[in-house]
Amino acid sequence: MLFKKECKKILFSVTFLLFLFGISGFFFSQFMGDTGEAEEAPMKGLDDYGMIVKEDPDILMPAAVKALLNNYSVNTYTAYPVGFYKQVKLRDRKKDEMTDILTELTGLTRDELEKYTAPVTNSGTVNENGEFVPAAASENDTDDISVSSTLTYDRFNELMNKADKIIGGGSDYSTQNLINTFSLIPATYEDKLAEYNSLTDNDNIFTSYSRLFCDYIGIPLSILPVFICTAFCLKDKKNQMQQLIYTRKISSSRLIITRYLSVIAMTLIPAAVSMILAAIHISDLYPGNASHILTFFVLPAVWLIPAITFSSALAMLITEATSSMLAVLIQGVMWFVSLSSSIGNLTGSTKLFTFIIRHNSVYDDAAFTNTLSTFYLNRIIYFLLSAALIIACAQIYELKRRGKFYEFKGFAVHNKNKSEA
Amino acid sequence: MDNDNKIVIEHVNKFYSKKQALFDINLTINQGMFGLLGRNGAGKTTLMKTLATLHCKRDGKITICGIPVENAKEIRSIIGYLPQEFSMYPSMTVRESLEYLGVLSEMPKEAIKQRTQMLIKRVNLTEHQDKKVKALSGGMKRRLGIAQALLHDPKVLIVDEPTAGLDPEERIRFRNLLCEVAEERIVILSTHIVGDIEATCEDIAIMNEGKILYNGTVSDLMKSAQGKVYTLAINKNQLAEVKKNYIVTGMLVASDVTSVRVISDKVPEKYEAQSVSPNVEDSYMYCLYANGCDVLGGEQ
Repeated sequence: MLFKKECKKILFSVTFLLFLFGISGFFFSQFMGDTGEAEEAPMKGLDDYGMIVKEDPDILMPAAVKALLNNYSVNTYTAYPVGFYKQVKLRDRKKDEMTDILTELTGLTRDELEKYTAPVTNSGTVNENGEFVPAAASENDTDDISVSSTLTYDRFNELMNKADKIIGGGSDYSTQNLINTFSLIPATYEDKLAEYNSLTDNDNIFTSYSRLFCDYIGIPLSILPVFICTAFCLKDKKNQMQQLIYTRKISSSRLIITRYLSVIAMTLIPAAVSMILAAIHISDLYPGNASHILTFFVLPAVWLIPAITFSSALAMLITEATSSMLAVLIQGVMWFVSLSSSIGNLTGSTKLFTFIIRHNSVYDDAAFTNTLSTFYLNRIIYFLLSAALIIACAQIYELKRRGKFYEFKGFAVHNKNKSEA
Repeated sequence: MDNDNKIVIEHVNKFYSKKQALFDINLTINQGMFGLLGRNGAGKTTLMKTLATLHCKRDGKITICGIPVENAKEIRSIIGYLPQEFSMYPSMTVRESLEYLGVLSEMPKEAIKQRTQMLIKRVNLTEHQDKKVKALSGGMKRRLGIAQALLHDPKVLIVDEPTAGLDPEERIRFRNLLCEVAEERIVILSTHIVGDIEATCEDIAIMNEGKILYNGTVSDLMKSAQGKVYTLAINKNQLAEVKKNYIVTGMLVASDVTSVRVISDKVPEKYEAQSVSPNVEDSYMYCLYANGCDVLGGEQ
């Protein structure tokens, strides 16, 4: 009964209306816009078929070594420790270790490598493409660098793994990312045809499109529930209902969990509706595959539910703890950082703590399946975190009901009602 | 078993951070109306909130109908609380608001319906039950407030400054309603309006700066002020001097003579003084004065 009443409260709120606009806006402009037509089989005789990932040591090793040397020359690396973006500059000891790795990778001496180290300067030139080229790099072009002739593929992998650890983990040189990042080769007609065939293979159409659906709809679902939760939690305070509710018999855990579940349910309904519309749309695009339509619904359940549960739980916790709209600010920044860090790598870039998972393609099956275990673990972690956050939220709520929370925070006097006593 | 129908407060102290708000409070409150009187800032709301499980005491012991106040869930099931400042979701109707709070009180569905209808009728909101809360007047909101506090048929009703902001008619109606519900339960009425206490309570306590100054019956309070209240017939020029030297509890200005009601331990011989029977307001002021509170001039 309470669940129904809480859902009704959300249903008739302005924030829910905004949520509906947000979700439908994203769905129609992004997913439907991007899938207006069915993918077509590649045409023969084109000059360019794009690039594909193929594990080829002859391509992978020079490309990766060159990239690492470029990073080394400006002493700037990108890492994703625990899944979050971090720009890294190595200090003496670690820089020294990186030099050792590069000497083994390239066969160059330490002195020869030194030439590639840029001085600390902002000087440089702008090339014909309008790109800034640092002075050191332009003088010591890494294009002429080759991989040491004695280096085996296994040893290369070991060294790259070591380099990744020095940088901080989750970099392009990690075992997980190495192939997807550096082993790209120009695709042929046959490659593209195979890729197309794998898409149109029986049940793969719906799986591939559901991935794209999750990619798009996961973006608003990672932030919009925050607005619903914040407004929902602040509603009692805004309407001076807190004391009437605090003195009721209901336990804090039951109240908070019911409210939380009602938020989840109310945010899932529009997501589910858009998912059904998407599935019908894909079924129309590829007639004859309708019998596999149910496969469309499997991935979104795993992908999107933890996004909603986590963003909602964190928002409820922050809002109950601060009685403010701070959650919007904090989670807005989190959302922005997570989204920004995936730009440039929109497929197969899932890390353990990546909040907004991206896979902006109906192709690249391999890139996604290569990180499937990380994907599942990631979603399980966020789901469990959600549960922990909501339990903490219920505890805070009970402390607030007993007037203990503000004392615990040490600002009892400031929160004491002016007219009190 | 003795404590089953009373509230017992023993040696209760309460602090807000380092500031002490309640000092060694001892009270026993029996069934019926109990008035808690005091100035704004006297500690009444703090005590009410402590009883309503909204605040924690530092030390001491409180049992409500035999249940220690620390058992919050049990206490919440037997108390009804009407805070000083409250509202409800503006877009809900009167009936929906009560039903929602009934669900939060974990009442059975049928009981919610029955009690909601009964209370709406009792507080004279039948015609307005489908009105949204935002459309109610201040008096109607107060009546809705008392209905929500009585929804789960509590043994104890705690009402904090309920008549503030009500017009005289609404105030009388509200006081009568409280008296009716007090026939079957403990009702604690906290107020700084002496008239509310005078009209409804026999047992009262007077609080000031977190301390209980008086605990007893209204008639005993009035007895304590017997022989301390005078009316003085003065001219207008003497008014400032009288106000400076006595606690003035009333004044009637006529064209040539001003009649002033004052509190004094001795007969004010300098003026034409006549001893009169104290009313509750006089007795309250005398209580503050006798306990060393600064009441000269009337405003603090």
